[in-house]
Amino acid sequence: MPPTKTGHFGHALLKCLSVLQLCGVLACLPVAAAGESVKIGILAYRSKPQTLAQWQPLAVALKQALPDRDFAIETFDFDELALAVASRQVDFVLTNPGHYIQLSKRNGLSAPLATLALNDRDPERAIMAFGGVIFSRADDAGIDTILDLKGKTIAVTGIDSLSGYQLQAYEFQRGGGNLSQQAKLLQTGMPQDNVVDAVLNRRAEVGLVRTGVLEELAGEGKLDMRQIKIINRQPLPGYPHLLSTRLYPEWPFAAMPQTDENLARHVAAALFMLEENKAATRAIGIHGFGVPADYTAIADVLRDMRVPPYDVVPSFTLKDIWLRYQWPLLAALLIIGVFLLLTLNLLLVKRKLVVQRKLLLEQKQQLLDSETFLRTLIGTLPDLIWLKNADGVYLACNPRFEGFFGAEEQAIVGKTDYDFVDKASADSFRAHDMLAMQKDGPYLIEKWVTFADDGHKELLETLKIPMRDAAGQFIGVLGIGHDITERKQAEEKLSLAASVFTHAREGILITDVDGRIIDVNDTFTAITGYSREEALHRNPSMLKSDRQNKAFYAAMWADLKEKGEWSGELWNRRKNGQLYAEILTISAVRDAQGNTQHYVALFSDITPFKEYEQQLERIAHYDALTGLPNRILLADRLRLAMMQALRRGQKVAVVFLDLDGFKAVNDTFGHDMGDELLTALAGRMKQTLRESDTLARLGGDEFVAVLVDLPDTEACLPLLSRLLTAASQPVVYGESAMLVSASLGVSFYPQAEDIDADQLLRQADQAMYQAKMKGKNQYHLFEAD
Amino acid sequence: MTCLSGLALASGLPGCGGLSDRPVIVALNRWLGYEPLCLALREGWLDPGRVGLLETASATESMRALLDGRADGAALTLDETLKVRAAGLPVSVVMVCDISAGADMLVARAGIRRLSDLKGRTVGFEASALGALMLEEALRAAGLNKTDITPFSVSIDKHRQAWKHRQVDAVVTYEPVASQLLADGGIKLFDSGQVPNTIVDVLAMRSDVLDFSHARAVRHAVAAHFMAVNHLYRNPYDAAYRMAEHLGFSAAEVLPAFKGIILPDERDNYRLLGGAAPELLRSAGKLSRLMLENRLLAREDSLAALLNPDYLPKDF
Repeated sequence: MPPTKTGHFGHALLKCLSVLQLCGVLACLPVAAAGESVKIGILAYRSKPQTLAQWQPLAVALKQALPDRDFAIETFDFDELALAVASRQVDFVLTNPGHYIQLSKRNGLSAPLATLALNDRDPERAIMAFGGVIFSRADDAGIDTILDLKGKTIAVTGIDSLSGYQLQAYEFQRGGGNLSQQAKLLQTGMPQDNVVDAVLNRRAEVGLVRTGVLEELAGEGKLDMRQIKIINRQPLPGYPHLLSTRLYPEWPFAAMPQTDENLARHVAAALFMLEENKAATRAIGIHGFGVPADYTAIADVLRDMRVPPYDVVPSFTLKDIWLRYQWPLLAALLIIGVFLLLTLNLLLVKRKLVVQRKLLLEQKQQLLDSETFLRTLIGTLPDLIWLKNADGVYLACNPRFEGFFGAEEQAIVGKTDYDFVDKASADSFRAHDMLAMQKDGPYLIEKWVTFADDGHKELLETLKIPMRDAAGQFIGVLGIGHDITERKQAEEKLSLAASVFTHAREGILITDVDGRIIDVNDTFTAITGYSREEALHRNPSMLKSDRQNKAFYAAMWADLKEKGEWSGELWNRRKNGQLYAEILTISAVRDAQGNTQHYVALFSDITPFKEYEQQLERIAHYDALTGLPNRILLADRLRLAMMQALRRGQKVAVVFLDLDGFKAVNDTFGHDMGDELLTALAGRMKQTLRESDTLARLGGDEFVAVLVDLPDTEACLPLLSRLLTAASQPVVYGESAMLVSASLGVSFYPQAEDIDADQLLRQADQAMYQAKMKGKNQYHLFEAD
Repeated sequence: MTCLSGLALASGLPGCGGLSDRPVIVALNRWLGYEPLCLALREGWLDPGRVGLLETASATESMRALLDGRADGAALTLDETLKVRAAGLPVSVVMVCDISAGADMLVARAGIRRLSDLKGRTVGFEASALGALMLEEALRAAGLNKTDITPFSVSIDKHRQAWKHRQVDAVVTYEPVASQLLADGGIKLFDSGQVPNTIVDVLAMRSDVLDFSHARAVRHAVAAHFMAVNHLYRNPYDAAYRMAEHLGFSAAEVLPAFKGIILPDERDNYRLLGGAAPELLRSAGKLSRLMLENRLLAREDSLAALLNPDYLPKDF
């Protein structure tokens, strides 16, 4: 609004004019022809009376231009004007551009008919632009730039005020801030004088007013310009007022929608012509009215500030969005599309993976089961199982093996033999492994090992074999240790038995239950002369000799069957027909059920023994020198003879024979010759006797003869004579001739009284002495006294 | 997202930081059509770190700066651009700053009422393609040819003087001198409005600067120009006051002065520079032929890669 010239004259004129106006109005009232007065609503940013006084000349001028209409000026503040417009109380509106746009949007004011033009410095020129001013007290050091407004108290007429708040706030916003949020607003209400007051009276630090106001107030004497300083001053030398913001087109003069078009046109024309009416323009203090300006710039400000009527967020239609953000949207859609595809792919893959996973889990379970089974298998096997790699490092082993090393598999895997056993053993293990690898095949060894867990020993038959995978790649050397201790012992037993069988000094013969030979040993062959092949499948009876009778064999078999064994001696026949004596033991071999499966016969050739026996017999019963029965045999023979004599009713003669002159021979010729003599005489004398008679040597030169089967005592006399003769013959030995004779004593049996052999011999002995007394070389018969 | 798409599509949206973006220097003399760039610099729409403005005294100096390498681009008339190309420096037009629509005129003394009255008179003109072109067009309109008049070469800063000292009867001149002469009693017999789209001022950039690392800077310069033009249209009063001092006019003179030129907006630029048959190409061809005839060019310009619309804003 232009500065008003408030001189006396003006005041009075104004008063008159208003009175006239009033009269005019009153006068007009009863006269309906002229029509209602045209109301022009004007925003007052100074005091309303002041503004009214200022603009009265316009009404006058318009009346001059349009005589048949009356014009009335009415002044309002923002809200009052809005109300007036809304209720159609006014016909024309003159207000600030921002307010105009608001009202226009709400109530549909016309496009501006004209734009206010103020005087420039040179009154011939017009200014059709105005702006906002930011000021503070000159002594306030803390405020220099528009940014310093932050946090300060700012006096404004109201936030609806275009030049008294919005334009300045817009400038602040261009710097990136929000004045209403970042500063304290002190709303003073119209007129703008209040703002200046507030700042000067320290109620606020900063004040926002329209351009020109400060100059007006200074002109009115209400403000000392030195008291204040301008913030964000715009250096526009062409513009006559202090300025802190951009410039915008001056106030628009607009018609209401209901205003008659003709009237509007005439008024517009009158406004354009106003600048010719110097009186009017000078009175109002304006240059005139110019061609309506483009208020888009104001609309832009309001829009940017989001103040009414643009406080509603503009509906950004989809089309706008599309046009504005075409490329980013396309890119975004593309990315989303790709993303969706990837997600879809991911889902598909995921599903596939789930299936695969399930499959894999099943497989895994199968593998686990299989592994567990194998593990159990390997663990259950009584053999030691281990696996070493080419360097001898353990890759795996089973529980039995753990016992061997005395450690768990985990502790063994990764280590070598050298960590568990003595070096010698470890070396040998290693050597065997190498051999197995070289051979690339199974390698068998037997070794006694001591188990570390409990110290027991086992004989292990170890199989070492290189292990390869399905592709043929060498994995390691597999070792399997089989406990063969018992088997070995059994083998040894068997081996021993076989050895015994083969090498026994006894002949061994094995038959089946039916007596057929199924095996013989070498000794059998040596004894019997039959080879193994000749003996097999034959019966041992082939060895039979005649020495034993049937009863003997029957008894043998009976014993075998009953007791399961038999032992004794018998005479068999060799292959070459030679007889031999054997001592034989036969055992029956029974199975678990007790059934005889085999017979085993053990025999030894005792033929030499038998001879020896005979020899012993001989030595026991015969005189070594002469070969004649000795005392013991004599006793036996005598007893027999005595029994025989009794049985047969015959007589037995016992002859006690003593050689005469034997001692002299012994002394003359020596004992050896004496022995010869004895031997010769013994032979001769024996020859004189019968088969059944016995001649025995008692010892030295004493002999006894037992003559049997004598019918009577006289029957023995010839025998006695022969004996004497035989004894008295000379014995020539070498160049020596020896001569002796015999003295015989004879007793007979049986006698009238019982008599035993000893008594008989004593009697005979006595008789011999008789013979010797009588002169030797004779016999004497015992007479029982 | 914007950044991403910007990067992906190289739409040159600001604030994304470039891979070693390099600044460019534009030489420009004082002229109405180039004023938007200066306004942009003063108002902060043009970042001096990205685009440096090298103010020169005349278009000739701008051309020299371009040829020397002191500038990467220059605001020149179309004919000046062709001259630079003929001098061996390949340049391309990235933007049309303004189109003369009356700002260039033939002002004659009072008494010479019709173009045909120029016969036998002394006609002053700048020894530039512009001057030659205007003179030729004026003579054509007059139905005269060069031999019918006495051509007098005089540079713009001497026009007023020549007029005063009656060295010329008519002169082919332009704002603001033109207005001054008209005020002195001159009569406008012919103006560029009669030969539209011929006298064109452009922003020409060296071809080797139109690469990836300078692209953002060039686009920034172009965008800043349009921002200033936009402000001029939307808030002419504010723009006028802000341009007044630099132009050397009073604020009231600014807007009337702009009436003689058209400042083509983004859409207009696309029409002039882009598409299958850019409008400017026709004018350039005509200009090239004319310059060849007037021995201002050694040979006709092939017009290859003369126009480059790629640096115009994509969103407007």
